[in-house]
Amino acid sequence: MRILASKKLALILIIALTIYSVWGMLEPQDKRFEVFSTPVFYLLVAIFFINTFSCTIKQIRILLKGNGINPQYSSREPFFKVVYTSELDDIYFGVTSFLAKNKYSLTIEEEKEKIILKAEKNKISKWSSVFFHVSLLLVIIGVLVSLLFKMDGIILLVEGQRLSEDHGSYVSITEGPLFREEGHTGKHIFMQKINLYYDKQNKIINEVEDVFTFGEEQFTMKASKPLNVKGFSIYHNKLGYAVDLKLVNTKNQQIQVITAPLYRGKFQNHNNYEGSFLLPGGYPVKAKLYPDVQNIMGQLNSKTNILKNPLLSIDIKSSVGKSVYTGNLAQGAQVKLEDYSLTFAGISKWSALRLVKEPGIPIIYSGFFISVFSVGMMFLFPVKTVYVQVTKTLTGVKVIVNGKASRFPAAFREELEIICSELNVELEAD
Amino acid sequence: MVLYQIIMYWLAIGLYVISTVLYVISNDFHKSSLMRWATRFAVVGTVPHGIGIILRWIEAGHAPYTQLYEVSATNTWLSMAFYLFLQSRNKRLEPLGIIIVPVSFLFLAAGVMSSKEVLEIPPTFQTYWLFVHVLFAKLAYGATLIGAGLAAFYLLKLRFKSFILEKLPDSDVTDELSYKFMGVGFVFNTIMIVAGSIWAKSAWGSYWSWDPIETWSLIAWLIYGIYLHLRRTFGWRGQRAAWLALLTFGVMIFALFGIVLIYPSIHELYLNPKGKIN
Repeated sequence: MRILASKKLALILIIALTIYSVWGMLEPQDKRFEVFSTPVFYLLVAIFFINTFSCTIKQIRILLKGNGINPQYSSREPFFKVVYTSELDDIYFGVTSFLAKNKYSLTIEEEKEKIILKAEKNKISKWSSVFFHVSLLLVIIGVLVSLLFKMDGIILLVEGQRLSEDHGSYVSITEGPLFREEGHTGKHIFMQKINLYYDKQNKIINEVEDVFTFGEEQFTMKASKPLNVKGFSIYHNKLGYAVDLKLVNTKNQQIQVITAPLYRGKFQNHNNYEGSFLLPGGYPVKAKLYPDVQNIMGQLNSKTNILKNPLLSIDIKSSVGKSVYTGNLAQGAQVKLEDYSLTFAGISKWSALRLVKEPGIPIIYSGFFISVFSVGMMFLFPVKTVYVQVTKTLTGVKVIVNGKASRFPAAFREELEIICSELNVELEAD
Repeated sequence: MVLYQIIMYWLAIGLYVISTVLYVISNDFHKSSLMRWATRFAVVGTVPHGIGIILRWIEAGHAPYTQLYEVSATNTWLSMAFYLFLQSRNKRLEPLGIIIVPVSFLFLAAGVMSSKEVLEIPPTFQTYWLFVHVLFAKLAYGATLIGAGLAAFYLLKLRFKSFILEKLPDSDVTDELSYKFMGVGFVFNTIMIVAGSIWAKSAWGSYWSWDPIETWSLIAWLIYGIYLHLRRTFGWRGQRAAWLALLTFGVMIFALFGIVLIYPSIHELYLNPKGKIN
């Protein structure tokens, strides 16, 4: 069991995690997330957790035990040794008042004609290493809690659409193994309006504002300012356009209005919106919307992703894959199919909202803050200990000074030199 | 506006080059007075350098932390300011200029020669956490550069004798100072990662997404961990620790500047040489 609290094991694990992470970065991007979700990685983290926990317990024990003075330290290889002719009490008073003036906290042990003082600065920093280890443990616990109880889903709402917050309403959802379906509220989300704001040149949609109701309450959420509502963190995830297609039968009666959400294309298509869907009668359709169309050498593309001059390009096939219609439609244009006519009636906007429940977050954040606090303590405020032994001898009062620092001993030696010379001046003056 | 910035940056580079030359000459001819002049030129160089950054800030309408052009200018200015402040407090650190100044002007020159297009900052970037994240990334870079510089000096001191190397504190103190700056770099690096993670969570809903820069920053942090662990627990000192400090700096530089040139990343805006937001 001693191996679990071994510092060598800790070092091996940190090296192993580093090598694993480098190896993970050599994998292609689509596989990278999987690399950090493998049993091997979880096993490494688990052993690291046990090792950190065991080391922390060991450190706490040592710290709680070692509160007294180590009398051997002060007499071992003295840094400063002077015999004064004054009285023991005067020297003792001079030493204690000097150290107190220099903001050292004192622990005193008196023996017969011998006094040992332990003066410490930044005492709390003794615990910095323990705090740092605790912070690592908290981060790992927080991540574990999140993995087990997390819910993270994307719900897509066209302007004017209402959906209930249930498992089935999400277009994609990830739930931790211990997340319970009762965690969903079942309340309605109604997307009232989606407002768009543009950049200075009117070329890019720079900000999106979703106005929606969740249950009875109304919310206005900007993409840059996510909300925390009813136990969820809600983020604006994506924005797109949806085309409204009105279907009219041969007697000019409206059969149905289809609202088909289209998704922003990639690379040179990044201002266009694309999607596939089925029309009644089993007609598969591929659609591409150019919000701000331009024709360059016969090639259609959109100058911006802002609705200025929209054009819908559609490709309708029969259920057996035969081409029925391929062409471009301006708003209001109609296409005649076998059973009905289709009109490009309008364009609306949709927003994808990301709803996240992550109960581990407060634990992770506590870990983060403790880690920053503890590493700050560790390096900016190292523990400095000065040992002073005052002994009555036949020739006078002997003062021996020694010291150590938890970090940067060479710098502390210089500091100790100054302390000793100042102490000497003060004691000689007495 | 861009023209004035470029003039200012090249003026700063010129002054830094003169400073470097003076450091080298002071070393070769054993002249302390020349070293002081070298430092003075470096101080003067930070003025046009700083003016260039302010002009960019005004032109862009946001803090200069996007693209290589802005990042290299601010990082190098902060590390120069860091070094100049330290050497004013501890004159024995003055010889470090022979490493810090040339590294800074080379990075600055690389930035000046890259795209100068002003990028519009997405609204999710306008938070205090991002400011903390970016500021501490730069401070971590500065502290680690000085820590690694001291480590390099330590190694050089063991192998060569030169005027500048003799001006430095004793080997033990140089070694310890290197450890001190690496430790401070670790603190800043931790704050940088934590602030970035909190910002990512508040902006996108994920505190960690194994993004290449995120992961490489974690790798650099782990290597820092190995360095500190070996020093603290296993008593690594001297040469071995110095080589590890240099490796840590190398990984950090790769995480800060190299990654976006290799991997697609959510940090693309930060160093994208083409200067486009997707």
